[in-house]
Amino acid sequence: MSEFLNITLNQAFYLTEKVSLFGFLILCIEDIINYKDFKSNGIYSWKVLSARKNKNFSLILNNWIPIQILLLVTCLLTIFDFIEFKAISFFVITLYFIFFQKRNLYGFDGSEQMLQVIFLLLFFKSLSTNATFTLIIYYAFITQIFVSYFFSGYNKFKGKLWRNGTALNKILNTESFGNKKYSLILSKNLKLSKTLTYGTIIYQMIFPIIMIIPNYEIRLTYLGFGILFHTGIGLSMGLNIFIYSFLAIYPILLYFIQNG
Amino acid sequence: MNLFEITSIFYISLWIIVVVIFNLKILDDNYTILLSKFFILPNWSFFSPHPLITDYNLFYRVVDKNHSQNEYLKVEFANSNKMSHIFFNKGKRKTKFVLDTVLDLIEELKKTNKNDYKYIPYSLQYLLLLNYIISEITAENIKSVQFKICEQSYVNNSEKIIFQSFVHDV
Repeated sequence: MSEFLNITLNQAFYLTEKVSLFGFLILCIEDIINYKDFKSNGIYSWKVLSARKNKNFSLILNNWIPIQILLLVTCLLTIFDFIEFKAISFFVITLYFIFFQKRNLYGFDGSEQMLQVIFLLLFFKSLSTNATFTLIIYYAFITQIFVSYFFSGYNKFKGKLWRNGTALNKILNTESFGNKKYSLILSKNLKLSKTLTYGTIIYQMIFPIIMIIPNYEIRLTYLGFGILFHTGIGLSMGLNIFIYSFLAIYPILLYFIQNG
Repeated sequence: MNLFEITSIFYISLWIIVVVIFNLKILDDNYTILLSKFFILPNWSFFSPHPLITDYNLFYRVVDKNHSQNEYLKVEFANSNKMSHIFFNKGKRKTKFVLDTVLDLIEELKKTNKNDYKYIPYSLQYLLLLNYIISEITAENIKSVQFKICEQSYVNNSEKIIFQSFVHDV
């Protein structure tokens, strides 16, 4: 089993790159399909959003859908390795996220934050072939992943609803991010609801600790749970990019648990 | 390693430290704004510490040119989750965007003195929602529109009005 899962650092980076690009591709298609929402009478109207003081980069921010189509093409070319110097693609995609936040102010979620972190690190990685530099970028990846897990758990621990074990059930009870079917299951089984809520906090907070304990099987099992965890959240809450963005970092985590 | 690589390592190290400090929530807003000009600052919260446990529904009513007034109609922006959304979910950004805007408008209302409520229609959040609602109106010969935000709680199955807008000519 462990031999089957053995990957090199380059393969890990390659897989991370492909999964994150695929996630970004879906993101682009979703926004392009919703092009009407970006028109002047749509919800993301630049006419309204530009009422704020800062109007720099209006040319880009006012032509969001054409820019997004260009990004989609860039993304496709990078996925299929048609672009030699991938640093340009990664840089442009990182810029996209910066401009998105600048333009829209709202609607930027955690999975897009993760993609942004991934693409920025991939950008740095693709600028050099130096082995030491690549290794440092790899450790930067690992550190950012640990930080993201720990603080996701820590912030939940600070919340009253998370601490009393009802948060998950109540989130799933909403129409916006919930799922009636899963919510009903949790409402009928409060023990399960509490276990999953506390489990989420504990899983995220101790993630960095488990990843460095000297037992490969435990670390691998924990990663396996991670795949279930992210897929479960994505499924129940309809957060598809959440799955792609977090699973994108798993090849690098897999390399980490094999090699440290 | 060359100078570029050393500079990159220095920047990335600094970035990681800044991300940790930012997520500890000990930074003053001014420092956060300053740092966000140089670093990407991911906020690793994910429905915490205060998760969204109620729905915020948008309703509008219109007065047509014959001065007849309609009942409040619901704006459907939240899409109920399906299994297929694991592959493709084109509605999730809009849901998040509208909710973020509504929640920010509510925050703005909390901060605003009641005497200054007349300035609320000039806020970005209000304008975004008004613009969106106008775009959702399907009826013709509209003279004016008004919208309201209702908080729907499934815990005690209640719905209460959080905010009612001014009446605006279309």
